[in-house]
Amino acid sequence: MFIRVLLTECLKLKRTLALWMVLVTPLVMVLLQFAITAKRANVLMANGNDAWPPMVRQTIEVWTLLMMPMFVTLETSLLAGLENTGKNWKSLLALPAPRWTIYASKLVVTITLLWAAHAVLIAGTIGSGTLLKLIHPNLNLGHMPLDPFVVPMLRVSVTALLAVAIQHWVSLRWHSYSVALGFGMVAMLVGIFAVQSNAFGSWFPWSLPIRAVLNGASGQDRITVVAVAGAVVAATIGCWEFVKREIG
Amino acid sequence: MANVIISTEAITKEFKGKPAVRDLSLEVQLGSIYAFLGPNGAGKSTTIRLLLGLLRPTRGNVSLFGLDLKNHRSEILARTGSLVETPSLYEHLSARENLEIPRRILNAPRTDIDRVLRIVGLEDVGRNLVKTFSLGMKQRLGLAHAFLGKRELLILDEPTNGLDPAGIQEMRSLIRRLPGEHGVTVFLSSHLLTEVEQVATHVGMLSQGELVFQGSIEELKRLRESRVRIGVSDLESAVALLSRHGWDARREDGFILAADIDVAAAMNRALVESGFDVHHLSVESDSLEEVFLKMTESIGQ
Repeated sequence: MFIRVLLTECLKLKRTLALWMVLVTPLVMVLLQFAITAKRANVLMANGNDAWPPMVRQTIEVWTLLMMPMFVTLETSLLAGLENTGKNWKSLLALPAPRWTIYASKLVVTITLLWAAHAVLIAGTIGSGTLLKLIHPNLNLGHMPLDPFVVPMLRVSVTALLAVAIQHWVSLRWHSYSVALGFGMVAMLVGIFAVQSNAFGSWFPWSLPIRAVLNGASGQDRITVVAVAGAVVAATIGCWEFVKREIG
Repeated sequence: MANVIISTEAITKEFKGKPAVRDLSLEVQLGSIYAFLGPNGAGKSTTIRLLLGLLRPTRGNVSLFGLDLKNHRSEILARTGSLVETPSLYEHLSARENLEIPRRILNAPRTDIDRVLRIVGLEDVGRNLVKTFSLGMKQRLGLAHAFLGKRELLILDEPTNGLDPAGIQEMRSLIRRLPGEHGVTVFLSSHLLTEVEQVATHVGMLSQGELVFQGSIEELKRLRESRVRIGVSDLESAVALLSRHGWDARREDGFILAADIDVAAAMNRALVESGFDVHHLSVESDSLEEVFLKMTESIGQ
């Protein structure tokens, strides 16, 4: 039954902004990074250093700190909006699918969209680096190793799960877009400040992804474990509340 | 009991301590079209949500197909189609795509989509996006949604809401055909008795969360009060004459109203023989609407 429900959730994505955002949001980031690197090409060529590591680092940092929380907030709101705007909950929950399958499949879809966006970001950045090499042959982009990019992005993908699980529940719990959007934006801002704090940053869900990839950040494995365990707990509690919820 | 498809045992649903429905014991027979009537706010939608498991009763039990809803939710919902208030549809998807969602969950064959689109007369617009549909088309698509799979019971909340007269006629004729042609029992709610009078075989009347009547439409019709309306030249003297004969008569709107219809001819004779000009004599009965209003008012008081 779970697979059948999951397939229906995929069908609902057809012609939605939520699906387009998987392409558009990371490509905006790629374009931004491309423009910055292209503008600074002369400076980078003059000092002769490998331009790939800073390009990758900036991409990861800006994505993880700003773009990804906004992406998660918007995606979860848009996906919940598919049911909220048409008051579709009553007919969806009057179908013979266990309620947990509906909650879980929507969460799986959100995570898949996030990970797909990460794949687009990685592919787009590599494409952007290749294009920069063509435009500025003297720009030192080395052989553009993937490890410094893909490994941190994998860590970001996993440590983002806690924030995704919480934001998913908030979006499904309150039918108004403004609640979910407001919550997500406030959480993102708190996360930006919390990153600086060793005491708070290693625990605040929206700070975990960047803490997990920052150079010198200690306890990356511990942060990953906290995020995954927290995500499981948040998803379970959210699912339990959803199953018990009354649809008036 | 084998013929009872919906049975509720004194269910009560309270919101913040205030009862929305109280001690409701419904019994819906297999193959019937059961109209659940009540003014707006009487608790019809709450009851429907209780029957579909969207709300949990504060007290009492709900059984469908002889199965307890609490323990057999999926099994019951697989056999129950529903349309709750306005149809819930995904406007960015086509009609077929909208039906594909319940079809997958119900694990019904793909051909079922053609079948239900044919039933509701939307087979030619199946590939069109729902956002281009009129309200009537959306309502029919909502009904198609409820028909998918092997549904033995349809629960429809105000199915003609928002439809134009032609749409209402279509919906009525569709509902009327369901038990005979498709073996489906229908439970529908409405606040218009005149509307359901034409389709229902059984009626349940709800007022302020309480069931004030439940039975066949014939039983309901038997509850109608009848009276004799007499048009006569001198009302005052005529009423006095009828009272002297021991008949209960009163003046109303320029006529005499008498309660006992069995003596209409005798009253007429007495009046004519006493020299009154009788220019109107008719027997009239309460409309079902009036019966309904009397019942709901008695609860209100």
